[in-house]
Amino acid sequence: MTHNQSYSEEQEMIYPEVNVLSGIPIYQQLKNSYHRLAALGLIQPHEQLPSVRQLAMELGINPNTVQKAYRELEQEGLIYAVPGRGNFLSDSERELDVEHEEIRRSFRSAAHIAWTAGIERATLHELLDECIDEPKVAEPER
Amino acid sequence: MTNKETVERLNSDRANESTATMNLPVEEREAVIVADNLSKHFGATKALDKVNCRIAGASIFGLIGSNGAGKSTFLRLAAGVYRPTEGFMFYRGQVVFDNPCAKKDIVFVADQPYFHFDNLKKMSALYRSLYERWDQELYQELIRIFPIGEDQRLDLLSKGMHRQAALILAIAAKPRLLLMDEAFDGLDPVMRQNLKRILARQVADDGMTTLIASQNLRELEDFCDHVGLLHEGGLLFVEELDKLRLGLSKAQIAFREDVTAEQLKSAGLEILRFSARGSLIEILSRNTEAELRTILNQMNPLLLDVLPLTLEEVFIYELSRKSYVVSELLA
Repeated sequence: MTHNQSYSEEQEMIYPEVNVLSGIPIYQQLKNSYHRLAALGLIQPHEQLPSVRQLAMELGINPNTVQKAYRELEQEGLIYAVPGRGNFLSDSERELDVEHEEIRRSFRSAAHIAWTAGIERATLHELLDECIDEPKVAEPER
Repeated sequence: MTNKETVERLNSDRANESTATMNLPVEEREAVIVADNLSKHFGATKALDKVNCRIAGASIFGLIGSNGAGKSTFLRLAAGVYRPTEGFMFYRGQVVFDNPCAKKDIVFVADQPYFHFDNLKKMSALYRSLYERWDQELYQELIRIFPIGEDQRLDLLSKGMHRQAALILAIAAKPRLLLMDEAFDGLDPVMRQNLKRILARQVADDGMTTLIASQNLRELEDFCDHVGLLHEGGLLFVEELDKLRLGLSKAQIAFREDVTAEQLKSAGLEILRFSARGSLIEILSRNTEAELRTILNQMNPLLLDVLPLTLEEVFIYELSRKSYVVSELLA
């Protein structure tokens, strides 16, 4: 499928996956995937991300969508752009505190609902386990 | 400078321009198509009525609408096949009709492609003579990807293969503006994916602008960045696809007690549609998903599911505001 390109010259790159049937906007899925890949250490700081062209071609998606995702990721500080070279993962330390606070907020909301409805702690734990075990594909951000 | 050097320089200029274009958000780019109070009448029939819109460079634009809404007419005006009855159709600031300077950049793939010659070899020679940016290497690549023998008789091929043949010719001509009346119709899933990849590459490399008229909303909503909805010759809206889907949400909610639409409205929700079946409420609202969740969670629901709308649902909703018949069917 390539025009003027040889695969042996390309470095091994990780491509995020998107699910076009999921109902979540593709640019959002790309962003979530990259956040997750970075958090898991599957991409290293200063590692190069696929170009807009490469990613759009690989996934068969609109390059403008890729561009939008990359632009927002840059604004969020997850990646940085080097003109003429491409996009790279930033090396800012993962701020897990932010994630912890978000999780705390969700839990607080669930605990309140359970309390109002008279649902016991054990049931709440069961529900949490079920949610953790659910298959995940790039959930939307709250 | 030899011909080859000229083409290479043109290609390289195009590539630089395309990179610069791609770096801007779609809304900030220069318009490639501008419809200015555009009307097209066929006798007493107003196929298009005072349409105003702009389509930006390197955008993949979906033109959607009911049957007879005017999509094909709009494409043919953009291709310079039709002359406007009133108003203007501009390509990069020039009138398209009867203007070879504009038309050399534009290729139109019709809903039912017609071929002047009986095989691809002859058709490609024709296109090569007409389009100065014709890329023979790209053509060779395309006849491998959408496999069609160059000597095969086109009239003996299936509908899907006709479309493949038409796409091969259109893309190899390297247009700056590609107009497609139904891009994916008749293509098998593998060819669909191939088409998307090739279009993605041409948009990224070449800054090609693509306008697809289609009934297949499922296909469009994964691929277009902007959509315009035509209805009975008028343009109901043009919007960035992501904004369109974020601007309408659907939620299913169950409360312990009965809750009315008025209560939800006074809680701050912009309810467009409210229906209740037993204790299960379904609402359509202009709020974002985040707003819906925040407001509804404060009311301690037993169940809350927020579902993004598909393009089809947006389409049906927007049309139902215009047409009583459709809204009655949905009620």
